[in-house]
Amino acid sequence: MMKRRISAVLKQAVCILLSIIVIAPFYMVLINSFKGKSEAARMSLSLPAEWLFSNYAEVIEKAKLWQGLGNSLLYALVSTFIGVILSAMAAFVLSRNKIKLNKFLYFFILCGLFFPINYVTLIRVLQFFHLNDTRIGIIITFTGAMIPFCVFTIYNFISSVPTEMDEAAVIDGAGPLSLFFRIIVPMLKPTMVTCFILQFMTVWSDFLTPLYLSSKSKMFPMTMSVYQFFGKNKNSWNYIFADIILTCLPVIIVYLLGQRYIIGGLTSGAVKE
Amino acid sequence: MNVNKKKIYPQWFIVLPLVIYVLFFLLPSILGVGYSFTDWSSKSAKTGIHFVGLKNYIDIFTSNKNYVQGILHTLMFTVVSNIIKLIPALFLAILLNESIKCRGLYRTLFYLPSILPFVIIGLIFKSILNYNNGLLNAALEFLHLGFLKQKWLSDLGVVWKSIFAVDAWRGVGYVMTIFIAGLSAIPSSYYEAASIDGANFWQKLRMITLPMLKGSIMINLVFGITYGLKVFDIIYVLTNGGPGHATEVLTTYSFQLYSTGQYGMSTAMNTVLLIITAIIGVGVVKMMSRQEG
Amino acid sequence: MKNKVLALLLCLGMTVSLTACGGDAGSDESTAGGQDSSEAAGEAGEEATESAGSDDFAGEELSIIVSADWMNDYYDETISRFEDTYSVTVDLQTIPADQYSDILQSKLETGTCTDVFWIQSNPFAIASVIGNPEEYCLDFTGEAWEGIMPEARLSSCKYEDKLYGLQIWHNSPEYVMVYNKSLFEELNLTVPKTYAELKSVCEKIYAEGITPWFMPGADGWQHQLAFFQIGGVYEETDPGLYEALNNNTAVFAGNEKMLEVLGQFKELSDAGYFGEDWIGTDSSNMANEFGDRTCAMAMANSSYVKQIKDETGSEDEFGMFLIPLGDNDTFPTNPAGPTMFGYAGTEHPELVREWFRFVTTTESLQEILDNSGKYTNLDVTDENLEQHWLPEEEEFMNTVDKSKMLTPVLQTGTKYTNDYWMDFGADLIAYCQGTMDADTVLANMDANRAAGAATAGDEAWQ
Repeated sequence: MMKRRISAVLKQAVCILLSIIVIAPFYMVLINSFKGKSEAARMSLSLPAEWLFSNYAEVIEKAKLWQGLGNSLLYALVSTFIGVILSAMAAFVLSRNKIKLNKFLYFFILCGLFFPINYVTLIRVLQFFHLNDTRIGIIITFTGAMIPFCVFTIYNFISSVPTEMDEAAVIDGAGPLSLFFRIIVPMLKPTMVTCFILQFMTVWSDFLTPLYLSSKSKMFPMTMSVYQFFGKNKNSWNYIFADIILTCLPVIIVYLLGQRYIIGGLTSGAVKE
Repeated sequence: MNVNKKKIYPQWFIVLPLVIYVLFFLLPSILGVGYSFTDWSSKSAKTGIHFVGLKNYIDIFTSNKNYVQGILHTLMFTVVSNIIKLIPALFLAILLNESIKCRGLYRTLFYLPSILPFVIIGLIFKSILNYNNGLLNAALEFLHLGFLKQKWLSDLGVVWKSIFAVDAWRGVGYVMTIFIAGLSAIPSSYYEAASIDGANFWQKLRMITLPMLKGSIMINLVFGITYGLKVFDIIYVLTNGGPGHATEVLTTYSFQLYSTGQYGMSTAMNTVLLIITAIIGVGVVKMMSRQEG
Repeated sequence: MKNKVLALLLCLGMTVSLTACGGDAGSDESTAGGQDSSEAAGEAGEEATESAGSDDFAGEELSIIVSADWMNDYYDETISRFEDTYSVTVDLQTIPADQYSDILQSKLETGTCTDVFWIQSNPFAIASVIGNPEEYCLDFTGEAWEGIMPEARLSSCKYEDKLYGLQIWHNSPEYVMVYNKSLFEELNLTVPKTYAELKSVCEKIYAEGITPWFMPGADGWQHQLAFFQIGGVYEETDPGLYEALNNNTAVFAGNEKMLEVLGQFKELSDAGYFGEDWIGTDSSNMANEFGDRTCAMAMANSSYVKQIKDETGSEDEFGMFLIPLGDNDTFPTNPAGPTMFGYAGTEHPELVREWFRFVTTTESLQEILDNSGKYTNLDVTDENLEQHWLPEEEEFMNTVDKSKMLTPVLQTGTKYTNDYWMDFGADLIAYCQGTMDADTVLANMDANRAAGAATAGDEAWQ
């Protein structure tokens, strides 16, 4: 009993220590986002001489953050949602029906992990499909780029879902779609949510792709806005920091929401065993 | 059984993702690789693009720039950064998979660094690691550890360590998240049974956790290797390949070539990288999948 | 189970649709905001509207792509007046500086460029950056606004006698030594004119525990200014050097004056006069360093004096002098600057032409100057423009002999040099750390320039 207690305390101590290391820079960003311009440039941890909550209001207005937020959410949510579902379907078939063709396709898709993006040829391809300079073009590009990641991840997790369940479902008369969505997806939830969280963040922080693929500032994502406050020798650190806090919030919310499904997956799995 | 399989695992499930992947990712990338055999440059608008065969590749290995050193740095970064991220992340994931207090909070906290944009990571850490008024050296002085003070980003013997540390700070939570997903798929009854048999932590780790986690380990390894070989941002924002050329990697060289208008050469450099990455990546996957079978 | 899946799908669907709505609402709001500000500014422009009386462009959109820090908000008032005058909208796209040239390049290449684009121009840049002006740029030859640019600036706007660009930039001293005058007076120091004097000044300041010359090496683009801004001194020592460098009949390697300057730079670095860890320090805290008196000098623009005072409330007096490395006494004349071009593939060339005419009216120029807060003057020949030279600038300019203002700085006076700015900076640091020798630094620049020339198909290098 005593031993368990000590180990629990130790574990907490480790977690708290690590948390401090992780949080210190975030605290620095947060506290400096309330300061004046030159005070923020010192990037110290001390409290602001005067709390400038107005920095946030100014950033939202100057950087047109609402518009950027709308774009970013649209790109990240839609592309990731479609990407994860499609990848799960592909990974499901690839891993359950290991015929030669599918083994090849698995490695074929896997190779996508290694290729670098070339924006010039990408724009040319999108122009061919008349998708350049459209939101759909941006979303489909993101989806295409995440498929290798998601297929690879889900493929390697799907083996932990027992095949007996497929057979049972089919005997009950379920078609492939209903087998997939009713039996497999719920079992794969922790994996799919993990993929969703990681890819949501990837899309969220990628401001370059929309920048290359659109010719109107109306289509720029939220993460672009922070660059307006950079300049040679005259960076507005307080605005930069406030902007960063606002840009990070949606990702944190998605992670917190996703958390539940990952933990939920564990307990439901355990109950079934 | 075969007919049955075709029915319950229909091939058309693969078609849509495959089409999107091929058209909007693979095709442009492969077309891009084609440029590495041309003299594509900022001047091409006027002179057109010509096929030059392997000239760019030969230039890479015969240039006055130390590109070979860049390749070695890239490989070194890949090995070291993966070791220092994967192992701690695994133990963190195990720790946070137990019913420890506030584990949801900790998981979120440890993930937080990976959502910060690189520019911001760069400027925060350049400030923290500053010799004169940086937070780290100040903290060391405060703890009477002044002798540990370093010129973190400019001392040639320390700069790589600083990069590794910042990279780990940023990346451990990401790796951990994938491990947690893997751990959550291990039925807790396995551990209960092992506990009844009197297994200790290390025995459980070796007999249950590691074998069951093989999928996640492979995923993390492949992502880690790809990330390491393609590493650019973290170095770009912290040192931009410096001080001098001490931390140049393949991608920082390729970036310089691109920004001076030598697009063909830059794509050739990326293609070298692609080949190295693909060989190692596919190798890892094949090796680990074989063990499974 | 079914319900759960359905619920999940529904939830996501709702989030997506909400997002889409959110996006729309967001853009509505921002346009509304834009209108507000333009109305406020609009009154001044009403007269212009009537006189122009042109609704030919009504409803069109003029798009502009620009790197961060080239337009900032200086043009906002002029833009909204333009919008009101012609009932058009202007879509200003500010791109992060380190991504800008790649993005512009890909947009030109794929034919997706905005109506107006900017480049950092110099007399060689149209050829090397844009590559093919005939295909990409609107030909502005014959436009009346050609006359507002002084001869030196026109050279960065013309290519093969055709006018393509408009360069509105200031003529303040750029990257000279800014120093704390009050501190110098207290320490009984005079402005150094030679390297020897500089060294002794540094020594005395260093003895006070103050960083003599703040050098933000971690920025990667600032420290090499010390070498390039004094281009005039290389030309003076070795007349005809620039031309020879451009004709590929001279090289950097082995140039004695350059080696001397590099040696001096390293000497100052080794002595700790740039600060204890200048290689690891960036410029984010530079204004505060001046304000706190933890540094005495730094290379900066004249307007930086104002910035120090504004940001830190420092009571000290500041002044400027020429960078005295290599005993330099020449002024860093630089005909380079961000320059605006019209895109040949635009759907409304007339509107673009109108925009250039509009920007070059005295009223617009005055607005840009007054709104900048950073420029003290605009380098245009418009006599009706009211300039705001700082007393510090006038005082400094009076100390420089006009004959010392003839040679442009090295990076824009010679071909392909500026393209390898960062590279040279990295080499310079390697030299200071003892991992590269001075002549290799220079030889690398030659090799790089040769690569640049090969890319451009320059005949002198073939």
